Amino acid sequence: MPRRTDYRKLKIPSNIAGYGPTVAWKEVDHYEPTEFHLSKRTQKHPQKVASIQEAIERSHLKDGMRISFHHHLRMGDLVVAKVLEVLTAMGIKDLTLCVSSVMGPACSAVLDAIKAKTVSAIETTGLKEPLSSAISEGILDTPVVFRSHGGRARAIEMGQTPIDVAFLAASAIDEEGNLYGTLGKNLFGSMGYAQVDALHAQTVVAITDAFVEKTDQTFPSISGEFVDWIVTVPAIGDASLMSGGSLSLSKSPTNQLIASLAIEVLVASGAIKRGFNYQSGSGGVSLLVSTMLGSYLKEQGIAGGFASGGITAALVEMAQQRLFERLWDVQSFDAQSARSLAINAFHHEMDASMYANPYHPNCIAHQLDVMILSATEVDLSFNINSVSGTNGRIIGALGGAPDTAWGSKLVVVVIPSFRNRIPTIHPQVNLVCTPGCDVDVVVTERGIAVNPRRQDLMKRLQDGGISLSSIEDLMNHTFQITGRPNYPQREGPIRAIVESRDGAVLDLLRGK
Amino acid sequence: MRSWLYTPANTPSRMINAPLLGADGVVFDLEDSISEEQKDEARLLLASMLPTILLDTATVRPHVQIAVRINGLDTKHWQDDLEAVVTSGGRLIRIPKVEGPGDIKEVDALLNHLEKEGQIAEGSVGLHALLETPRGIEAAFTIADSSSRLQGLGFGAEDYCAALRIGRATESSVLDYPRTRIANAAAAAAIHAFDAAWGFIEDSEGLKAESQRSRRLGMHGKSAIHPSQIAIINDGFSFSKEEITYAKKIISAMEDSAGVVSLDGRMIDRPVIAWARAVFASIGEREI
Repeated sequence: MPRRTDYRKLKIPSNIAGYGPTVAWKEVDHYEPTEFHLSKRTQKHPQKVASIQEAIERSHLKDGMRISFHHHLRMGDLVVAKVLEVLTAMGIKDLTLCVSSVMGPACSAVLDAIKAKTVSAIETTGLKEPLSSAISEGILDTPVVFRSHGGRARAIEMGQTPIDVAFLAASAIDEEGNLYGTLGKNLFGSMGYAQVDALHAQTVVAITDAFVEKTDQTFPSISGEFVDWIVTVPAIGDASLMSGGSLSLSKSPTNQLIASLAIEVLVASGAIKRGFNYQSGSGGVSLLVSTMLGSYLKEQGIAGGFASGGITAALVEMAQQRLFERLWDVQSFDAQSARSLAINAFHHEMDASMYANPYHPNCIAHQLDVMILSATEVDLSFNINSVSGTNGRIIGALGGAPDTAWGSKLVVVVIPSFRNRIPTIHPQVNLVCTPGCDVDVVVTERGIAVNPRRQDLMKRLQDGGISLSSIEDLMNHTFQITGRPNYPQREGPIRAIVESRDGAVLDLLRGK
Repeated sequence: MRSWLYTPANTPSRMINAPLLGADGVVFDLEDSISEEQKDEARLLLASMLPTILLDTATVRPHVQIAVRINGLDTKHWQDDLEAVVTSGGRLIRIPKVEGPGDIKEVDALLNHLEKEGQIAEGSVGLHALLETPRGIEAAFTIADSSSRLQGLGFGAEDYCAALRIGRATESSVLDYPRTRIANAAAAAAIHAFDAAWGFIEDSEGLKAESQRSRRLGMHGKSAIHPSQIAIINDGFSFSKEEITYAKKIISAMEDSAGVVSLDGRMIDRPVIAWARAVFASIGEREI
């Protein structure tokens, strides 16, 4: 199936202050695999230091450098806050924060660091309140750069965003300085996002609250040869808070309806067959689809190939029941999946590059058959916004959506037709995060629309008894319920840049 | 009409999506689920939302019926409820605690007036009568036969049990009598009979058993108080695959023959054909 070229015309400046020259986005049919994902660093000998401050001093961290964090502890992370607090106390200024995402208490900590001039730029896949409102209001002089998980891995590996010091939380460290996410009192599972940072950062500071003896039972996530300094703190966070946020399983009857319609679409499409590879994003409906899919596979006696991405307890249970052969885990979403990574042979850790870097030769996202995505908005060209609301406020994240949407054979967006009286299908989304050319189906509780460029899929679904609407009809029908929104004009300063996975500029988020 | 989902008329987010959840009908409730202080507020909300809900339902779930349960005739609210619902497009009213044909006639008179004033086709507003007291149960047929507006009789088990000073148990054969009486009265008047809601939300096995029993007693459907009950009720009140196959064979045999036929050793006469047609009618209702 040829990829589609539908995309709204955007005026992207050739140069953006605080970002530099831009490359305009264009559709890509093929990414040529490259070797640059391999680290060129020499072996290191990790040493313990007494405090975060000592590690920073020994790292020779200076004003204007770039530091990185991962967000595997999600809502329970305390490392970002601890490190930024020390950096602020040391008077270090003007740092660029390169993070896999900012969530939970880290958002307030980053905001405080911006106010103290410690941080002056952010590169991330997502961020939340109260940081998001401050960004929208212009607290930073330079636009936030949003990259997908694959795009971030690519940017680090290509040297587009060189990391000077990576601060990596580990749930345990052994005497050789190897880092684990599956041992210790605050185990959080996969360290997939951190692995890329460890391989490519100039200096790696590992922070833990548990030292363990080296064990043959569990492989370390990051070898000690990539670690410079090791710091022990009383607590890296509270892993019991990991599975909050967008990972709660929805009990909403409307969401259950959307999920069940999505299953009908998957079945009618013919994608659910022996050996199929599957991923769903976070978000209540997406997670429900996985749960319902498990029941369907069990009933039909179908075993999939792999499930990938963020791994949940539901996916672990499905693998235990041999409904999937393997799990590829870039991020464990809950305690059960974190423990599973340590003990189950079917459960594999993967780094963010292997997961979604467009140039990785074995990119897992490119091997997907089915991808279920959530979104904040969709438009008539099937473009997806997963970062901002209709009013332009930042409320979500890119995550791996652009990577998996490009790579998967079937991409289904599950979305209620309105939230809190605000419709979700619009003539144009506020911010293009995943281009519509990579999206096949939109499933709402009021109807299902197939991208007109997928006539093959449309026919298969209709032959399978699925009633389809046009995306225009879905939008207009929803407007009859909610009224047509009065869209805010946003022509002010550029607050954020959405990079496509290959580094081109996909869209701009502007302030008032 | 197998399942009727009750939805309190004071929660817009639930109300707007209630018709999508798989029930054959939705009943927006102004009565028991709305506190006395919220009666006016809920009525106003429902009146403002009903045109949108009816339009939405007609577009995306055209087979789903929308009804409103108004407050009882012994309250000060029922006339206001009726006027608000009818003038905002509601065409099916559930009247609680009906005890005799006089109650229906009282509502009928006001509906005649509202239809005339609103230039609404005469008789276009239908009624469901809920029989919830021993007196109402005893008057089942006279109620069912009291107005051409009547489309169904419903059973209210909680009030009935309270009147008999018995608790509503998960298994209760004492409810067979009112169900049978209602089912027979409804059949005599050629209208539907709906069973009471199952209040034990977590007990899906109990709901399944009660649905099957109600159907065997002649009920056509049952009320639901939670979306999770809908599929169980629909299943309990649907014709089985075997019944549908048999009905198809009967219709097919009839089409191929000019006279009386037999099928699998059974004589196929008028009542059997009527049953087969009823099976198809019930499927067709949902497949429109």
